Order: sequence, then structure tokens, then C-alpha cells
Amino acid sequence: MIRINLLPEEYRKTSRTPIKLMLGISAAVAINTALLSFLGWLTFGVAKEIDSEKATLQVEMDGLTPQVAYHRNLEKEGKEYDSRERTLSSITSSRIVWTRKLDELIDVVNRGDEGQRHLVWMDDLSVTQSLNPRANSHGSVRASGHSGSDKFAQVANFLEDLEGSTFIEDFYKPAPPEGTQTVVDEELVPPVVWAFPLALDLRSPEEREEARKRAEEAALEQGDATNTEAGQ
Amino acid sequence: MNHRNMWIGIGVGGTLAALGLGALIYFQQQNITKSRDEVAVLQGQIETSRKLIEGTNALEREVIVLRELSATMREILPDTEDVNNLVRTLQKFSEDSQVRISGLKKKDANVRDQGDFDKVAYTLSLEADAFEFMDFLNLIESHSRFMRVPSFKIEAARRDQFEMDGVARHRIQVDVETFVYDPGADSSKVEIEGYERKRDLLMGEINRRRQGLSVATFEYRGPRGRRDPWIDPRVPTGGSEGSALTVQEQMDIVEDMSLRMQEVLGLWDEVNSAGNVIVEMMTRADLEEKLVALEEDVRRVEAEGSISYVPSLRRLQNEVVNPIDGLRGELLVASGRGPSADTLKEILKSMERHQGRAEYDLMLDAYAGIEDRLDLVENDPLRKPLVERMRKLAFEARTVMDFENIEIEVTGLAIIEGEDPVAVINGRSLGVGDMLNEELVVYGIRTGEIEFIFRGVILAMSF
Repeated sequence: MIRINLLPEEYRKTSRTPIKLMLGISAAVAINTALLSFLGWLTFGVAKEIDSEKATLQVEMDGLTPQVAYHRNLEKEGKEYDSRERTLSSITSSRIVWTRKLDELIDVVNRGDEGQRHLVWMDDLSVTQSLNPRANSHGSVRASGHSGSDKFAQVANFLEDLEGSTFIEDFYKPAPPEGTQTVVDEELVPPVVWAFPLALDLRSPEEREEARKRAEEAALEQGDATNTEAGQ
Repeated sequence: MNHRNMWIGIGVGGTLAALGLGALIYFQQQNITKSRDEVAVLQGQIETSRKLIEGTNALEREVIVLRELSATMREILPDTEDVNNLVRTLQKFSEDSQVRISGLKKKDANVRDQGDFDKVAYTLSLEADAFEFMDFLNLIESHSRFMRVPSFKIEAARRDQFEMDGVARHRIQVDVETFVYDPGADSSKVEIEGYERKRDLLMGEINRRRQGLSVATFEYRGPRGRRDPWIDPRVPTGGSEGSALTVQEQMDIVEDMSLRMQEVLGLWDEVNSAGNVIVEMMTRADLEEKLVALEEDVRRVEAEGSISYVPSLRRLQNEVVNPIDGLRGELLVASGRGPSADTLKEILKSMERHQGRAEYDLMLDAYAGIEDRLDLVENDPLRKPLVERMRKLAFEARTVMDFENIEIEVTGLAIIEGEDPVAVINGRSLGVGDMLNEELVVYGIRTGEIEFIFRGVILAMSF
């Protein structure tokens, strides 16, 4: 049904913006203002501050970069040299001076007082040195020896002399003496000969180095003791 | 516009504005987070960099030390040219040590085994006695460029071989390795400010590390009178008759004679290079004295058969007897007009010493060495008395030796006071003045001794 307001204009109700609308508009404005303010704070406050901090750090980093590059280049160069030094050091330190070892062995062989203590000679000698640090065996010395005497104890004398010599520093102790008497030759002096095996295993490079140091220290102490005695 | 539309407009507009702002805030937050992360990264980098560069000084020092060591490495290891010369070097070593190389085989090891170091390896087959081999080994191991021997085998010479040749020829197989330092593409050297000054400050550390790289060597001093352990030292039963010397004593005797021979040869060199006549004469006199004394000892050793150990016997021949013969020949050529007065005096002294020891055969040996040259000097007034004395001594020695060869058997003796003594010699009763044979006259008969005149010389025979 259609309703018609027949009241004169002055008696009619005045039309005003509805309160709900006002509230709605106000809320929208308030929310958007708040959001805008937050955006402004983020943009001109936080972000600027971080950018400034970042710029400062970047300047600092730029200052450090050449020093770091210098360090890295030094590291690279050093690594190359260091690797060579290590390799060469391992090559040189693992070497056994066999002239010295043979000389020491000949000394022991010749220390037998011409058969009073022992008279030893050999048929062969086989020397191998393993240069692989992970190998189970670091090397060995093998020989077929002869002792010119009817007394087998002379083989023990020889091995005892060997154990007491500087030769043994690079080796583990030899196996206990064993041997067999070979054919008696009455046309030679001495006629009786015992054949025995000589088997020695090399110590590891580290053990050899330790043994060498111990020997040097012992020699030094002996020297000191001698000097002290001489002083007294 | 009615209220409804207005509502809608306000609602949509407000929402859109809020969504737009929200999106902007979101993106800004993202940016801020990203920036924060970047700052954190930068801070981390700065911290790491600071820590890193704290060690720059130490690293710089290390690089300086290593750079200096690189030069040492180049000195220790052979370069490509050295390796090309390796075979020549081994050849020279074999000549210097007198080993006989019979085989040379390159081992298949020329691969980059150790970083910048290329391994080069050879297997050598050779023949030598123990001391020659040690000489060879020592030359390898003490070479200025690093070489090492990872393995070797010695197979002793057979007894019949060295008894026949006099020189032991052990069969030896030896592996020789070396490494070539080839740094390849080096990274360019970093420029270190004040390098020279910093290096000088680090000289102590550089030297210490150089020591660590240095290659251990051994000063080999030769056989030193020791016997070869790969030679059977037993002597034949017959060979030791008349000589109770041990192998070591025999070796010592020969070693001593060899050294004396070297001294004599040294004197001969000095004679040849003498600056003036006086020095030449004095040195020559010294040489003659030492040479004659050595000859005397050689004669004695040979006569007694003291040396029966074959290697020593051969050494005596090669290092003493043959050089003596050679030197005597040279002295003969140099003297031209026969032996010098010094030579004669020394040989005379030697003969007298032999006479004092009743070594008449050795007296004649000493004389035999010069006898055929005495005619050249017998008219020289200075040397004539010496020649005559020498001939007299030789005659006496020969007389004594001939006398010793005469069979004389004394079976009885009668010495009665107031009567001429009588001896029963070779079954005949003979008195003083009687002849035993055409050359032998009884000169005197005493208890325990009979004197004879033999070729004008009075000789006594004890019984």
C-alpha cells in the first residue's frame, strides 16, 4: 500500500544522515587510517632504519673484502706449498739410508772375534721397504746365514750382537735362533757350519723416528755423563 | 543515491582501501624481513671475515716460509733435465764405485704418484762385492738430488767363482727411485707488502723447516779392514799350514800393505811434480826406503804363505804386488843409468835385515829385483862399493842356501885332549882339514857344532 505524507513541509520530520552510516564511515576511515599509519611507520621507520644499518654494515664489509680476498689468496697459495712440503717431507723422512744399515750389519758380522764369538756369513740378502703408510708390513730384511762353528750357540751370539747394535733401531727384534747343521767339509776350517735364517721386520716410520730420538737422547745423556765424569 | 547504495559504496570502498593498505604492509614486511636477513648475513660475514683476517698475519708468515722452502724443494728434487741425466749419473756412479751394471730397466712408475712429484724408477742389475756395492749405494743416497732405494737383493758369489777370479761378483738387483718436482700451473704469488723484511725476520723458522726437509745421509768410510759378509770366510785346511793367521789378521796385513803402497805411489807423484832437485832427491830417498821396506814385507808374507784367504790374496796381488812391479818399471825408466845410490842403499839394508833373520831366500829375492841392472852402475865410484857389498851378500846367501842343501849326517864325534878331534860325517871319519866333497872342508870340530869352509865361507852346523 502506498502511503502519502500530506503534512506541510514544516511539519514533516527533517532527513538526517543515519547514525549507522556515520558509524560505518567512521569505522572505515579509522581502520584505513590506522593501516596507513602502520604502513607509514614500517616504511619510514623500520625499513629506513634497517636500510641504514645495512648500508653501514655494507660499508664495513666493503672495507673487509680486500683483506678477506688477500687472506683467501694467501690460503690458496699456502695450501699448494703446504701440500708439496708435506709430500716431500713424507718422501724424505720415510727413506732408510741403506748404506748405513748395511754398514752396521757388516760391523756386527765382523764383531765375532774370528769365530771366538761367531763367524757368520750369508748366501743372500733381500731388502724391501713398503712405502704405503697403510700397509700391514713396512718392509723386511731376509737373509740365509751361516755360522762357521760346531756350536749352535754362536748363532745366538750373533743375534744378540745384532740386537745390541744400532742396526736394530729400525727393526723389530729378530725371531729366536733356529738352524740346521749342513754337510761337514773337512777340507775347510771350520769344517762344521750351521745354516740359519735371518728375518727382520721394519718398524713404521713413526716408530723409527721415535727410536731414533731415543737413541739420540741416550747418546746425549751418555755424552753428558762422560763430560761430568771427566769434569770430576 | 539511496542509503543502501551508499552503504554498499562505503563498505566496498573502505574494504578495498583496507585491503590495499594491508597488501602494502605485507610487502613492506617482506622487504623488512629480507633486509633484516641481509643485515644478519652481513653481520655474519663481517664477523667471519674479522675472525678470518685475525689469522692473516700468521698465514702471511706461513706463506713466506713455504715460499722460501719451495726453493729448497727445487734444490732437493731433480728437475726434468736431471732425470734425463739419471742414467748418465748411474753410469758414472758405477764407474766410480767399480760395480759392473749388467742391466738397466725403467720401471713403469712414471705416473703422478705424489701430487706435484713425478716418480721415476729404475731396476738395476749389477755385479760387485759388498763394499763396491756400498760405495755405489752411498753415491746414490748421498747425491745432491734426492734418490732412494726401496728394495734390493744380493745373491752371494759362489765360492769357486771368487776363488778362481779372486774378486767376488755378487749378483745384485737394486731399485732406484727419484721424484721430479714439477709444480705445474702455480697460482700467481700474492704480493706481500714488505716481503724481504718479513722474510728476514722469519729466517730462524725457515732454517728450522729446511732442516726438516733435509735428506738424511751417511758418511760411508769404506771397508775399514772388514770382511765381506757374503763371502765364505773359511780357509782351506792346506792353505793354513805354516800360517796361524785368522782371516781378519790376513785382511789387516793386506790392508796395511795396500795403504803403504798408496803412500809410496803418492811419494812417486810428489817426485814427479817436485819443484826442485833437492825436494825430488829427498822425496825419492823416502820413497825408496818405504818401497824397499814394503817389498821386504811382501817377500816375507809370500815366503811364509801367511795369506791364504783368497780375497786377501787377490787384493795383495792387485793392490800391492802389481803396483810394485809397475813402479819399479817406472823407476827403472826414470833412473836411465841404473839404480840410484838411494835405491842400492835401501835394498842393501833390506838384504842385511833378511840376513839378520836368516832369511837367505828373501835376501836373494831382494837382490834378484836389481841384479840385472847392477852392471850399469858398477863403474860409478859412489855406487860401486854398494854394488860390491850387495853382490857379496848375495853370494853369501846363495852359499848358505847351497850349504843347507848338502846332505850332512853326523853320527859320531871324538874329542880327546891332546889329540885332533874326529867326526863321523856321512859314514866317513873326518878331521880338521879333511874334505867332505870337492867344495866342503872341515874347519873345526867342537861339541855340538862342526865348522866347514864352503866356497871360502866358514859355516857352522849345529847338531
